[in-house]
Amino acid sequence: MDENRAGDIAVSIEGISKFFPYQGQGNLRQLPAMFIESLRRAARRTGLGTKAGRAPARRAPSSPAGHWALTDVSFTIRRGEVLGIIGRNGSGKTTLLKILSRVTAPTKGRATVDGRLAAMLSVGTGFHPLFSGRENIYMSGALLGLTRAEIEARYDAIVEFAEIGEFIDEPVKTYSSGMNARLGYAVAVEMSSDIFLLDEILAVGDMAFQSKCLSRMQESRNQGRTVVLVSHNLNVVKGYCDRVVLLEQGRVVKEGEPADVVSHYLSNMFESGEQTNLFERTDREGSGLLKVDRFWFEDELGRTVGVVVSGESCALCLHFDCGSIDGPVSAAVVITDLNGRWLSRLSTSVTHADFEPAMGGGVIRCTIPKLPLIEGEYAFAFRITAGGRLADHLENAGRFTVVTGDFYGTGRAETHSPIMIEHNWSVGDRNAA
Amino acid sequence: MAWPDLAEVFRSRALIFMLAKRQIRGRYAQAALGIFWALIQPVSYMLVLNLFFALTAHFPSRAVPYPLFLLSGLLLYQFFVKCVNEGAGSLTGNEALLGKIFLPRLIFPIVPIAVASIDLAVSMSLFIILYFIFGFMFPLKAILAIGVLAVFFVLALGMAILLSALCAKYKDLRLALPTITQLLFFSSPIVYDVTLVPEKYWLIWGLNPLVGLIPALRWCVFDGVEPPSLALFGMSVAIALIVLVVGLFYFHRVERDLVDAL
Repeated sequence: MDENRAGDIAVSIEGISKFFPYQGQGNLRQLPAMFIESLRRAARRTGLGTKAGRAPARRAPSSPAGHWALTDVSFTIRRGEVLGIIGRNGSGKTTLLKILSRVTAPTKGRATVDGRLAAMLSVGTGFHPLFSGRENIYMSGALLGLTRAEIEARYDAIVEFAEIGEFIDEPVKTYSSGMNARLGYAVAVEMSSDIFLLDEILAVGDMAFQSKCLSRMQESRNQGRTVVLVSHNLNVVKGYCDRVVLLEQGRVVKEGEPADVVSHYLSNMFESGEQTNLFERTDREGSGLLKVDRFWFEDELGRTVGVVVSGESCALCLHFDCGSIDGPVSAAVVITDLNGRWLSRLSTSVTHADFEPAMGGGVIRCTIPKLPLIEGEYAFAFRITAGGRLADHLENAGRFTVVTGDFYGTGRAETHSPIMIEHNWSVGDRNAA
Repeated sequence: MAWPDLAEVFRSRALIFMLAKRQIRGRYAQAALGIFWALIQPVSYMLVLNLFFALTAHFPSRAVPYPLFLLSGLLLYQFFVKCVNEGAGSLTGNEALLGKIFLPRLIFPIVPIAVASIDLAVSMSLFIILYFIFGFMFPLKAILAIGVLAVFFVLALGMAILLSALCAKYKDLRLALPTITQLLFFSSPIVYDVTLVPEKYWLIWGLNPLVGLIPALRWCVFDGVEPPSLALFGMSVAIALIVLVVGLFYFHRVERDLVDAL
């Protein structure tokens, strides 16, 4: 990085920190405190009541009521490179993109952007369902600060990229979710400027469209555009990024060659698997007679892990609370891809494993002796029935990462389709058939 | 204390226009009566109030037929309330957009003003038609109505900007607004004339900025109406300007941390 000439830096991030205060619940008892605090601040601003002459420090977050999403993050992004940002959920990746796109301001530090940066942080932002694809393209362009002429110049490319065809004049609400995502992506790609920010955008569309997006991204890079990519898909990060930054709890813990950073990330994940809380999830269904409050993954030796290995044994553990339950409990886990498409359903009723939990709660352990999934990100849902009635059902309950292993014992990994099936090949004599 | 970047807002005027158009089209897109709904609200108010006050208290409306008298007040009041209500929710209601894409934030409270102006134009053309039907002819001083409307716009804009920022910060305010606007209706000279309120209360009464503006507009378009109180009108102008300036300052101050607070 030392030999960078000035002007080769597209974005420079200097000591950025971001503090999010916890949002009050607007309770009445806080009102006097809020009032006094604002009076005190006003007094401080006008120099009354405090030691005069003290520099009016930018309201430093002194109270512990909040959390630091980013702490002293510094790095530079070179012009024309694809920079990947990886890290677990909650490591500050999205916050960083929001700061880069000026959607939110850093609490400390600054980001200097050389070039035009107009970006959508998610596909389809600002789409109005009642309007046609054409109208929404124009709207999105205007939202990104493009003039009418600039939008017109990109219009054909967008329609072609999105593969919408004659539906372009139909209202967007009549589109399939795939069409919607493709149009949104096309808009985001074609309309963004010198610096292009992508947040987990590859979770949309089918495989073919995803690979099209990736090659379009490379094309952008070749045109001299800078791409910042936030993704959980480590294959993509390894395959397409020039450099990767690893965030952990809001700090940059590693930066450099994609392969190095990704393997550092994974080894870290192995060592520090943790339990994920679910009790705050309110999007569940069921009587709540039995309630799953956290989950984690275990490896063969029963250690909590952050990633699981393809072809090896792993267990999904669901910790639950319950009262007294009459009759057997059956549990089912559905493994899905990130689009929510079912890959496999594992159920206690099919395997005659319904159980009667002890009063108070316990752990449901679903062990997969030889994980047949290829490397990538997956999600799961669960559904638990107690005494014949739905007790707890949660879609998209959690995500997990599978890393490459040796499923077939041949040292080679399948990469084309998500599920591996144990099988044998044999070739016989044609006369013997 | 800094001033918001007004040049940036001016550069985004095409976007403001598009967002307003989208809101109007989105609202009327699937309604058979379309934009005529903009007429139905003032007309129904006018009919109900006219009937009610004809049967009960009969407020003197001087040389002006009561329906026209009512409508002239209702137009402005309803425009103002739309600007205030929609403006107040313009930041909290656009959270999805604000959190995903950078835009000059000040455009959000401006868009509802543009939308309400279209409604105002529609109901105003109805007023003009009725005006001619009742056999009136615009006097020369009607040209001054443009000035009164300009003050109205400044007031509505200032209110929308100030309230949008306040509502993003203090969520209770949004819930208080319907009550406030309802009180505003009864404390404004819409169904009654200014002379109904004794002059000794005018200093307090004039804190409602509509008090100076509605009679001024009536004076502009109707002959035989007593000239409006310059004191009341002056108070309204001052309030409009103060609200706009305070609104802009306050908006700029909270803008920075706005997205995190939504």
